[in-house]
This record gives sequence, C-alpha cells and structure tokens, in this order.
Amino acid sequence: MAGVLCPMCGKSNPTELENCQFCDARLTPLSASTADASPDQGLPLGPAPTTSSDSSGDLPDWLSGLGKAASEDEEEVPDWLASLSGEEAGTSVPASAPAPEPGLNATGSLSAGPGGKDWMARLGSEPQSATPETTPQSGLQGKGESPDWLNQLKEKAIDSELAPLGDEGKAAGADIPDWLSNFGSTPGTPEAATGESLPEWLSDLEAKTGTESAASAPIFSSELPPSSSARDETPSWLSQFQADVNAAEEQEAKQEQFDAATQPPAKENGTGTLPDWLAGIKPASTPSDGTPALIATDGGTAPEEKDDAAFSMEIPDWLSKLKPEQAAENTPEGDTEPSTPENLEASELPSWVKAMRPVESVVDGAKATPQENAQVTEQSGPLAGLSGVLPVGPGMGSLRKPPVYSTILQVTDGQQRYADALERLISSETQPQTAKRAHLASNQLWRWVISGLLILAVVLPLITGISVTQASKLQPPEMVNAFTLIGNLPTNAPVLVVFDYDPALSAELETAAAPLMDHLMLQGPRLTLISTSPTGPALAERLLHDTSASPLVAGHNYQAGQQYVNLGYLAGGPSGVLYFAISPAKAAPFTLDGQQAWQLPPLQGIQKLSDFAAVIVLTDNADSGRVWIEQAGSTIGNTPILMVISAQVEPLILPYYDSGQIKGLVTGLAGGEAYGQTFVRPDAQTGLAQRYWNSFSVGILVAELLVLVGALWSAFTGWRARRDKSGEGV
Amino acid sequence: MKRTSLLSSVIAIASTAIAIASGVLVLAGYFFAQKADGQASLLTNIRLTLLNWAIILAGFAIFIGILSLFQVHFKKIQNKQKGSVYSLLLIISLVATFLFGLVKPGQAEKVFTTIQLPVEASLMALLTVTLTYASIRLLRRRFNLLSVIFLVTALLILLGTAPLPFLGDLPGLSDWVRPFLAHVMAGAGARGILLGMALGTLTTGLRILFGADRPYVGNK
Repeated sequence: MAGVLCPMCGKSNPTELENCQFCDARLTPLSASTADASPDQGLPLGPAPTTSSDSSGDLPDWLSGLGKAASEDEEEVPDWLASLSGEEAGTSVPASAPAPEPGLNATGSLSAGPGGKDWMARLGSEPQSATPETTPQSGLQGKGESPDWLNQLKEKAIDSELAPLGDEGKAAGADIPDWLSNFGSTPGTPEAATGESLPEWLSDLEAKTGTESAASAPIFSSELPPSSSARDETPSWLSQFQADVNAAEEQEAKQEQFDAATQPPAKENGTGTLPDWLAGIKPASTPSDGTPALIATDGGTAPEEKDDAAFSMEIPDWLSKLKPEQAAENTPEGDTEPSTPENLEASELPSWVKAMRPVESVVDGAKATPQENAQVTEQSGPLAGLSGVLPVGPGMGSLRKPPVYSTILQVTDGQQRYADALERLISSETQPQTAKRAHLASNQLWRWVISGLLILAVVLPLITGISVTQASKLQPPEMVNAFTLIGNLPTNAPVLVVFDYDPALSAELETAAAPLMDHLMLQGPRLTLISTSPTGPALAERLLHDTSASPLVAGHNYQAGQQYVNLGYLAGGPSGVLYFAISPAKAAPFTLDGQQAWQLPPLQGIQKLSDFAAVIVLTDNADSGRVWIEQAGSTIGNTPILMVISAQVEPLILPYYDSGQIKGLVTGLAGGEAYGQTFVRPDAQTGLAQRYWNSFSVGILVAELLVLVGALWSAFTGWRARRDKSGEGV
Repeated sequence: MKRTSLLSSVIAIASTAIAIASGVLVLAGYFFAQKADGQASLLTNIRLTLLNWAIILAGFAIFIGILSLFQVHFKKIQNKQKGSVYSLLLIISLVATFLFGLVKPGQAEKVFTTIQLPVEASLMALLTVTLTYASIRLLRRRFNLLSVIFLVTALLILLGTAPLPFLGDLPGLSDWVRPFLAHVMAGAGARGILLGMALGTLTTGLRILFGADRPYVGNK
C-alpha cells in the first residue's frame, strides 16, 4: 500500500498522516460498531467509538474507571441522562426501532461489542483520539469524575437535544473520523438536511428526543449549568475538532455531488475512497435488516458480488482475515433477531459510506416487512427507495396461482323461473304430438241439396213446358252479322264447317249452332265437314243426322257424298290447318268412309280455301278457334269466317271479331236463342234453344241464389270460426 | 366414347341445320308463295312438303300415344299397382272399341254417341254442381277482397246472361253491365293474353331460327 486513501476526497495520503493533506479530513477511523447495533441496520449506524468492559485493561485509568462506574453504580447517572437512557431503553426495539445512540447501551453505559476489541485496543494506544471521545459519555455516568469538556458537553445537551452529541463530536476534535464530524454538524443543520447527512441511528435519536423534548428539557435545564459557560471552557482538542467539523462540512458539500443515494456509479466511486480498514467490513455486513438499497429476496448474490467488486482493494491483513463467509455466518438471520457481538465488525461503516446508501437516506428508519424483503427496492430513478413497485425481472411479475372460479352459476329466483319455463317449452317441443287432422266437412247433404235444386230447376221447365220467362230481346251485333252472312249465301254454295268441340260441351254447342245450321241448310249449300279434334267427325255426323241433337237440322236429311263431305280428322294442329289452308285437297284427300273426297260433288270446283263461300268454325276452345283464324287468314281471301263458340271462350274470341278477322259470332245458348229469335222458320217451329231457354233461365236463377245465400252464410260461419279460433288462441 | 360424342355432335349440328333450314323455307314461302303466272312457287311446294311431313308425324304421334297408353296401363296391371282395376277396364274398352271398329266400321260411332258423349256431358254437369258448391264455400275458406270481387262478377254475369224467370231482363244489367264485363273488362284481359302469346310465339320462332333454342336435340 502506497498510502492511505482519504475517505472524503479519495486521494492518497502518506500513511503517517492522520489528516488528509488535501481536505484535512481524518484518515484514521476512530469508530467502532455498537454492541447493540440493530440488525435492521446491518451496517454500523454510527462509528462512535465506544469502550467495552472487556477492554478495560487496555483503556486508560479514567476510562476504565468509567466503565466500572457505569456497570456498578447506575444510580449515579444524572436524571437527565437517566431519563434519556431510560427512554431509549424503554423504547428501543432491537429489531425494528432505529438503533440507539452508538456508544450508549441500554443502560446508558458505553458499550463495545466483541468485534470492537481490535480497534478498541488500537484506540487505547491512541489516547489522543480515544480519550476525548469516550470521556464525555463516561462523564455522563460518573458525575464527579467527568472532565471539563465533558461538562461542557453536558451543558450543550441542555441547550438542544442533540447538542450534547454535537459537542461530543466537537470534543473529539481531530481524533474523530469524518462521520463524527458530520455528527458534529447536525445541531446547526435543519432536520431535513440532518436526515440526509446524518446516519440513521442519529436521525432516530433526534426523532425520539424530539418527541420527548418537552419532558426532558426541564430536567436538563434544572440540573445542567448554562451552556455558555461550557463553551468557554472548550479545550484545544475540541477546537481542533471544530475545525475538522468545518472541514467536514466542506467535504460534505462535495459529497453531495456524488449523489450517492441514487446513482450507483457514485457509489462505486465512493467505495473507491473507502479506507482500508473498511474494505473487509462491507461484505460481512451484507445481510441487513434495514432498508438496503437492493434487497435480494431470494438470497441473490448480485449485491454481494457488486460489493465484492467495489471493495476489491487492498485491505489490511487483520481485515483480510475476516472472510465474507464468516461474516455471513455471524450475521443474524431474521428480521427480529438482535445482532450478536460476532457481527459487530460486519456493521462497521462510517456515516459517509452509510450516507452513500441511497435508500438509507430516503427511507429513513423504514422497516422492511417480510413481504417487502421478498421484493426489490428500486435503486435509481423516481422510484428509488420504493420496494415492490416493479417486478423482479421482465415477465417475472407477480406470479400467482390463477384464481379458481366457482363453477356453480349464481342465478336469481327470477332467472331460475325463466330457465324452468324455457326448459318446459323445449321439452314440449321435442315430444311428438298427434297431428290434428283438419276436418273438412264434406257436407254431402249440402251437395245433394245443391244438385237436387239445380236438377229440378232445369228439368221441371222441360217436363212441364211452362214458360217462366220471356224470350231475350237482346240481339248482339256479332250474332246479327252472322245471321246476315248466312242469309246472303247463295244456293249450292260450298261452305266449310269445322267441328272443333269436345263431346262434353256438345250440348251447348249443338244448341247454339242448331239455329245457324238450320238457317244455313235451308239455303241448300254444299257442306264440307272437317275437324281438328278426333271426336269432331262423329259429332258432325251426329249434328246432321241425330234428331236428339237437333231435329230441325236432322230434318234436312243431308246425304253424305251428295250434299256434304266429311273429311274427317285433320291432324297436325296448326300445321295441319296451314296445310289445309294452302292445299285442302292434299291435306285431307279422303272422306270419312275412305272415298276420294275431292272427286265428290260437294267439293267440285274447290281447289283452295278461298274457294269456299264461307268458313264456319264451331269450337269450344279458344286455341283451336285462334289457329283457324291465324293460319287460314292469309289464304282465305274474302271468304268470311263465322264462329259458333261456347260462352266460356267469348272473351278470347271476341277480339278477333272486333279486329274484323271473323265476320260473325254466335256465343253460347244465349246467342243461339237470340239467333233463333232472329231467324223465324217458315213453319214457325222453334229449335232447342227456345226449348232450353226456360230451363236455362231457371237454372241460372237457382244457381245465383245458391251462390249468394251460400256465400253469405259461409262468410258468417267463417267469421265465427275465426273469432272462436282467435278466442282459443288468446 | 369419343366416337359417340363426335356422333352426338354431328347429329346435333345436323338437326340444328335442318330445323333452321325448315323454318327459313316455310317462312320464305309466306313471302314468295306464287310465281308470276300464279302457279305455286318452289318455296311453296317445299313448304307444303314439310307441312305434309309434319301432319304425318303428328298423326303417327297419336298412334304412338295410344301404344304408350296401352303399355303404361298394362304394366300397372302386371305390377298390381293401386288402381290397376281401372287400367284393366281401360285396356278392355280400348281393345273392344278397336275390334268393334274393325268388325263393324259403320256402327263404330254408336260407341261414341252412346258411351263417350254421355259420360263427358255428365262430367260437365257435375262440374256445374261443383262450381256452385265451391262458390258457396269460397268466402268461408278465403274471405278477402279478391274472393268477393270474383263472386260478385260471377253473379253479375249470370244475371246478365239470361232474363230472370217471371221478371225478364233486368234494366241495365243485360244490356250494359254484362256486355261491359264480358267485352271490356274480360276482353281487355284477353287481349293482353293474346298479345303476350303472340310475342312469345314470335320470340320462340326467332330463337329456333337462330339456333338459340334447340329443343330437338334434347337437353343440349
């Protein structure tokens, strides 16, 4: 070792110097940890040199006598000191409370742990530094034996609560280390500043004494002499101590630049200025129960390693022998265990090192709970000194067992009711139900009644011959045109008659066509019969010969092959009609009985459709009538087309009449009856239309009444059924 | 497989060409029907030939239909399906009428006048009762505005068709209401239907002529 590093400025000084040649700070420490240093603090709170009873042999006489007096006669302690010591003894809590004043044990006597034997011994070899430091405290216990400077210190204690301590530090003079110089500067500094610069044990002491100042001050004032006289008697060594304090204050200002409480690099720099005698103490005092800068909750070794690096400097032999493991073994475990004398050395740290511990100054006297010990205290930043704010590491936050939620659904009574109702609904839906067959009352009786009424309405007029109605006075214009055209046909004129109706509607068509055919046959034309329906040829023969169809027509007794030719069935639908319109002879070359039709007399001179004098279409189907109009219209020339149609196709055929494509039209039974009323036979016989007219009129009237009454009744019953159904639904 | 598809394609193309050519020829025959001397033109003759073929094919289709009807009902009898008794009756009537026509061709129409015509007329008479009963039940099953309009219209047409017994024609009903309904209202609807049918027929003919619709090639 080339020299001694100054604990304040960190500069190297020769070993023979006691004070730093640069900052005039004390180079040789005088402090020793207290025997009752709290394990919370870990590090020595105050380096106040104390004496031990064990080391009394090494101490000077006055100091050894002080130790005996302190141990044997406690009644000799003055009241103010007794109250102070008693208060501390009563309020001191080894585990959590801040450590009492170093150098004073619970009984008010000076104390020194076993670990302090070495330095105590060295302290004994240096009477200049040890004597003034221990004398004031021993003077508190031995009244008559205290020196003057101690009496002055006692007077200072009366002036202010911490003044004795400050004066005590002053009395130490140049022999006290810099931590003690900080201690000496505390009386004049504000409390806030004291908290930053003073060690924790001193801050706690101030707090305690501050609370008890009201009680203790009168005692001090009554028993102690005025402080002014004591200051006058300050010895020279104390003056020197005062000078050291001033120098320490300057050095303290420099220490603020380190900002050791928050910046770790400053801590490293500070540790570089540690004296040799402190190099080996720090690792031993690592387990701390106070509020360290970084708490290794899981026994982490990071702080220790850091300290190892920081304290890896040359240390004296006597300190190098003290291994960190030994210090750790001597370190008490648990927060509440008081420190044992074996770890006294581990808690030796000067106040300025202690001040560099950031959290010590920020969280002064805070006691870490076991939970807080398991957390990390922030070292830097705005969260410095706060523990448990941030997780230990990224992604290692509060690892806790996921909460277990109850699987039982908490429902209210109302919700339970609704759930039950829904369950009932669903269960009813899943059950098969017998489908109610909608009973449609066939009401056979009503059907028989309707049938009977209609039959009676039609049959009775026919049977009885009672005329219940008058002949229709209406003469539709289309019927009149047809009548005019038939009347204008020349004799023996070729006329094409198309039978395109089904047997089902033969009664209507025959009745409607009979007057026209009767009128036509009276003209004596040559008839050519053809049909696009398979049943048409048979219906044509029936109309001409069957008296049941029309006695008047049958009465003409037309002969096949002579007056008429039946060409039979014309296949092909529209194509057949077109083909017949273009070339009638090729489309229907044979008669119904297989003869060459176009060689027969009725077809003489007929080559094409336009050679016919008239084309009369009897149809009950709008399509067949439309086919004849459309396909034959282009080749028929001036030959008129007349139609006898069923009443049901009137709306579809009537537009062709309006357009002039057909020249005359007889519609249904009403048209036939109108035609019969128009055409009056010479013998005044009436046709089927007149005979059926009464039955037709009565039948329509009955049908109308049935529909009207029945519809009203059905509407009423339907309304009542819907009302009853809606009532059941509600 | 490939040859079959090729043959199908050839058939499809050929049938399409034939159909289009036939349509074009028949259509052209309308515009060029006669020569200058009044004789039928070549297009007319071609058209007549095609129409004759169509008539023959349509007549033969009836014969094929009769054979198909016989086959279907015969299978029903073989399989003893429901209603096979009526199928048996149909086949017996068909065969008996055919044989009767072959044996006595002059008496064949009596079968028609004594059996078919009365049956169909009876069915039409039953239709009268059925329609009357349906009109009565209409408002019970479907009581709405259209049903009421339908019934009122039917009653007005019936009232205007024939004079009422002992009352004669109702003034304004037979000479105005009924003609208005039958000629104006119903005629308007019928004209619309006819116009639609004409346009549809024209469109269908053009599509067949252009080959857009080819119903003669099946589903292609």
